[in-house]
Amino acid sequence: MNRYLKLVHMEIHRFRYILASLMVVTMVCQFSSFILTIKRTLSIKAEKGLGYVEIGLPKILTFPWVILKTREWFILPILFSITVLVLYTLLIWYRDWFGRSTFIYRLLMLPTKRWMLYVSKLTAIIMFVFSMIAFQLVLLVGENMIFKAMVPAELRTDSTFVEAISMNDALKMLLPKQFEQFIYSYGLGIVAVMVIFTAVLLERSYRRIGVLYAIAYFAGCAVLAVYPVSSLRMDKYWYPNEIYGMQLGVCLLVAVISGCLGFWLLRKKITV
Amino acid sequence: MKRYLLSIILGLCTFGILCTYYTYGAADHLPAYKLVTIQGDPKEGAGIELYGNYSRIGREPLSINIEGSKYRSRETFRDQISSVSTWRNFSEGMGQLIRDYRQFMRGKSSDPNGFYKDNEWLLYAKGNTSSGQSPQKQFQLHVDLLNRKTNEVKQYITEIPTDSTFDYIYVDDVQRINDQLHVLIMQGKRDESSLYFDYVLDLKSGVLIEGKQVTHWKNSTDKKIKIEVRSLSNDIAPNEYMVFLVLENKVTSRGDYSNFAMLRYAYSYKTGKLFALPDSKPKFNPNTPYYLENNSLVYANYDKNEIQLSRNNLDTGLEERDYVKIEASELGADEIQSFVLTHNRVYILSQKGSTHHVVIVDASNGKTRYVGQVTYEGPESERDKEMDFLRLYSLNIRETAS
Repeated sequence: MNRYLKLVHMEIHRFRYILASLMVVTMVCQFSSFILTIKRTLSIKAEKGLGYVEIGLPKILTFPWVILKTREWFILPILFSITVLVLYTLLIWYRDWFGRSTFIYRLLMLPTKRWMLYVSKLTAIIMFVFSMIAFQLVLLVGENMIFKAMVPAELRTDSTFVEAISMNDALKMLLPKQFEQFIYSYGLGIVAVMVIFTAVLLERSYRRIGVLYAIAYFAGCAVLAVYPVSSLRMDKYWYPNEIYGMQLGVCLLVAVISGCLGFWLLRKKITV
Repeated sequence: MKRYLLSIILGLCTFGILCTYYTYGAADHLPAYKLVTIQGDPKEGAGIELYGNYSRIGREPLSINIEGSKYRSRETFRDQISSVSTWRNFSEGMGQLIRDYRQFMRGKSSDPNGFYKDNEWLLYAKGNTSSGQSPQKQFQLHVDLLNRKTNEVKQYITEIPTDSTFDYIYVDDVQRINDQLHVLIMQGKRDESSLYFDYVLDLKSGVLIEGKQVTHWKNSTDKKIKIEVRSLSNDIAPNEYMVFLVLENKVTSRGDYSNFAMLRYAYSYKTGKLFALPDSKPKFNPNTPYYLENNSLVYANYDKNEIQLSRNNLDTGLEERDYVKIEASELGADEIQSFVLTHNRVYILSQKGSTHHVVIVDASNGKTRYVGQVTYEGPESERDKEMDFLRLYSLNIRETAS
């Protein structure tokens, strides 16, 4: 356990600057667009009177309305962060091979089970994703405070946190209202990361032909994971609760196969 | 320990923030509404589902019934998968059939027109087109029979001789008349009106006894008038009659259609005769709701202030015009927002100010069977405000388990 935690810490430590940069970029984009939008709106109100109303400019301002007005500046850093994290899912392995002094030698020589490498890297990726989500929540709290500080009480009305999130599709997707949906979304994400990890290990184990194995494995898992909801749902033979069960079963199966195959490759096939 | 401070802080903060959000922050605080019975048997209102939006900041689509309200934004992946079957609940008796005969219904429920149910039999007919090696299309009827008393299941396939040049062919209705199975087939070609055929099979053996063309309506030769035929059955319940609504559409210079007349015909499976229903020039509306039960065809003329029910007796051909009149003022409403004519009832959604009422009227005599009101389930002080944010537009009748 101790070794596993040390490995996780090592992965977090290696990514700390990139993670911090992503947080800063997200904060700067969101805060600046948020403040500028409020300032612009207040200056229009100051110029034309507090009761001034036009298309897209309500009489009373709300926090969700400002979120709606700045949605592009919220979505862009979120998309950028997602792209970086997806790329790092590949890089987290390749940097050990192609980084300075082939770090993978040292990792594979550690007096610990090799599957711990797999699990620690997976834990680190999950940590990065959840910490970005948590940071986004903190930003929303901060933005709500800025809104209350900048907009006079007679010009604003209170709203719930969820109302603000529902104004932006990216936030709605990242922060589902129901915890059950959170489990589905991020559970599927974790399975996808496991499939990518195993595909990378296939490539590292079999090199050139491994590229084909990796692509085939990834495609096979993707088809298997979407098949129940896309095809079975259409042919009406299966009842919805059966399709739901099959979908969960298939995702679990893909996760178990990916995990077991990944562990086996690390133990038996990986070459440096 | 200090070495790991970054990871510990990151992990604890992330976990704490996400837990706090899903414990307190994710609650949407959307108000709860309910349909409450004011008068009549609550069972009458059990299947009513009202649809609309809660419009405070943005629009939250919701549905309300006697159990409470459901917001679409609260749906999860599991709800979305289940929603594919929602239409089954609204299709006459299909939900109950799935509950009672799960294995027999497997793979069949996407096609409610192919079902027939009475006290003894549950029947299902499905068409299958095969071209095989020959260029001619062949049409086969696959019939599944379930004896509801013995639970015995039987199947047969019957070859149907059809004009092989059709572009589409469907089973439109299935009826049992004594020991004969009547399967009404709709077939047609693109740019031509659909034709209906009644194929009569021996119920026990599946042998084709006879097949005859029921409808002969065709587009005008100069293609200026297009005929659209709509069929109206009593869904899966036994009924001797099938009603055809024949819409005559003028083709405008822009190429689209405008309805200008509608004729009504009834076909008797028992006698094999098609006859026109008396046309006392009712107000023409192509969206007139119709409801067929036993030997009675009920239809409604309506506007936002009034619903007028008329009916045809299909045995005698007699028409009773406006035998029931329901006025918005009688219901104590400003206007009638929506209504559904089914199960020998008129389900009406009306509004007075910000209060929404549901009234169920017996379609045979116009008597009020049920009155319900949409109420806010929360503090009385917030009632008026929350009712103002509620906009209801339509209603539907969901099949209930009872």
